[in-house]
Amino acid sequence: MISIFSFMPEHFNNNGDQGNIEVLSIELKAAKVEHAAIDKIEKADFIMFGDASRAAMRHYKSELEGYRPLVRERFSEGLATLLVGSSYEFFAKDLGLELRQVARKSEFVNGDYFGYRNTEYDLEPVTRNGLFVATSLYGPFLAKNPGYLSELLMGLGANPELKPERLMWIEKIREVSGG
Amino acid sequence: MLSFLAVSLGKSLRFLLRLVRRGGGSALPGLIASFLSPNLLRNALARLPEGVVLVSGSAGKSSTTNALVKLLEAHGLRVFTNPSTANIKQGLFSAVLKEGGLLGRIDYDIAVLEVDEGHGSALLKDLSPRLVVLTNVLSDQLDRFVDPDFVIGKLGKLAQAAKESIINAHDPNLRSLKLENIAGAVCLAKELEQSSDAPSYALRFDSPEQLDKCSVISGTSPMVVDVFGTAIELRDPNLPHALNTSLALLATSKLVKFDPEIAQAVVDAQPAVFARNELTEIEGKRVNLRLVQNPTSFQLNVDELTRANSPLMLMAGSDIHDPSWLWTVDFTSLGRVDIVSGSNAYDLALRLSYAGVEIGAVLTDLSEAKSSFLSLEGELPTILFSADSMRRLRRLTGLAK
Repeated sequence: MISIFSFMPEHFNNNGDQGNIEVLSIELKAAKVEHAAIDKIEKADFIMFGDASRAAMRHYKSELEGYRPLVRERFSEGLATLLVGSSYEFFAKDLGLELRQVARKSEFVNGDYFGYRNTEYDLEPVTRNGLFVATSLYGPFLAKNPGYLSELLMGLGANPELKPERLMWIEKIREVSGG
Repeated sequence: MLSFLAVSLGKSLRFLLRLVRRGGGSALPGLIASFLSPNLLRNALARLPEGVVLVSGSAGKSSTTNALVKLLEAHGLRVFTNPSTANIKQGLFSAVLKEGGLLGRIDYDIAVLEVDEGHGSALLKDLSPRLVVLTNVLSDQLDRFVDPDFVIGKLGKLAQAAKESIINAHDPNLRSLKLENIAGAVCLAKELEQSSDAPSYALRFDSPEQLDKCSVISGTSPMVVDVFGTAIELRDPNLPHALNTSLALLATSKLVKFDPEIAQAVVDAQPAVFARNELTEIEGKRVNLRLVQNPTSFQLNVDELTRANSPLMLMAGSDIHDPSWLWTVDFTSLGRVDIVSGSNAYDLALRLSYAGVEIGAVLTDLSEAKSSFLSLEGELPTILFSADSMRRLRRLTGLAK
């Protein structure tokens, strides 16, 4: 049984980030792997902190502070984790990254990974160790990055069976939006 | 002299653009005129004897502006306004080009302008409003505005620049502005606040104080709003519409000698706003057109569809700059979409597919999409489109005015 934890999904869904959970769940189901959402982060096989508004980040600040040790540990061990947008920025120092403010970048990124970023911090679009991904890319990330999605599914013990038409649409999206 | 040149050039360009693109030609002439004669808008508005009223917010700007214009006209004022899709600088300049004379003068009593929630405050020098009406703050267009905090700040600046403001006090984001110039505020009676139809706004975790004085919307079938002691019935059962109409009523009562009978007649006759949900005819077929501009309106429209809305075409155009927000809409109730089109068609198709929606075809070519759609049989052919797709489809089908 694969357990999935998403931190405050109703409030950390600024750019459809909970779609990542939807995608993971659907692909695990397609691969006939049992899975369930849980509310105990310590026991989760996959955890996600989505992008949140400034109001939500202010409200949950102390709770998020408490997760720093867990995030550091998961990063160093490369465990299946997804930090998106403001959560990436919040935990950046726990990944050994310096958070420097720069002119806002609102653009599609089309390289090893694809997505749209809207950030005023000089962070790489994706910081990764094993199955741990911290990203400024919205999309949702899993839906538009089938390479990582496949690795994630395999890491969670599933044999990925991504639908060909979805892969074709992702290629078209990269052509249309990514230049 | 510069104004004359700017207006002449702008008007000519507008005329030529509309010859080749029906329904289009609004932005470019305005942009050129604003470059050649930056004071054109300011000078035109400064001559209006009753001044300038601005309507802004994340949603409901068009409905509120439309209602306010109708109410003021019914009270005898000649009202200058802008089209709902022309609510940034070049659109406002274009409105002056369209309605003004060769010297850029507009012969009206008052201006009621819808302004973009992000851009409005940057135009304050030109607009000098006497009254600002604020509808709400949603978590919307994050690729443009980054965070609702930004919109709240911009709307606050806009409202503070006016002599008076009127706000939707049901929205805690607007209450949090603590405006000192509030001349009127709309709120909901307890029974309506608890209704599932009550609008939700950009998330906050605090609870800004309620206002001491508020015009309450209460009752059902019909709802009634208390306009400074006068009850006006709101026959449209939609709660967000009721809030917008009430804002317009309060604004009217601040701008003219309010006649309840005239106001009631206008509210009763209020038509649906252009293309929000419209029945029209395309190539001999009756078609339901629905404009979707943000997660809220997309969700509302999806939820309103029944089995009768078939065949179904969804179109996501280039106005959806970052299509990520499509993932915040729950499409599962649709079951099947016959055609997916628009420049963001593949993004929309991917999202629909993961929502378990069966897709007939993804056609990015508009002409092909239209032909395929119209060839399908069904009770009520229905199109949900974003603003860019709406404009393109209207031009293609001759619906553009």
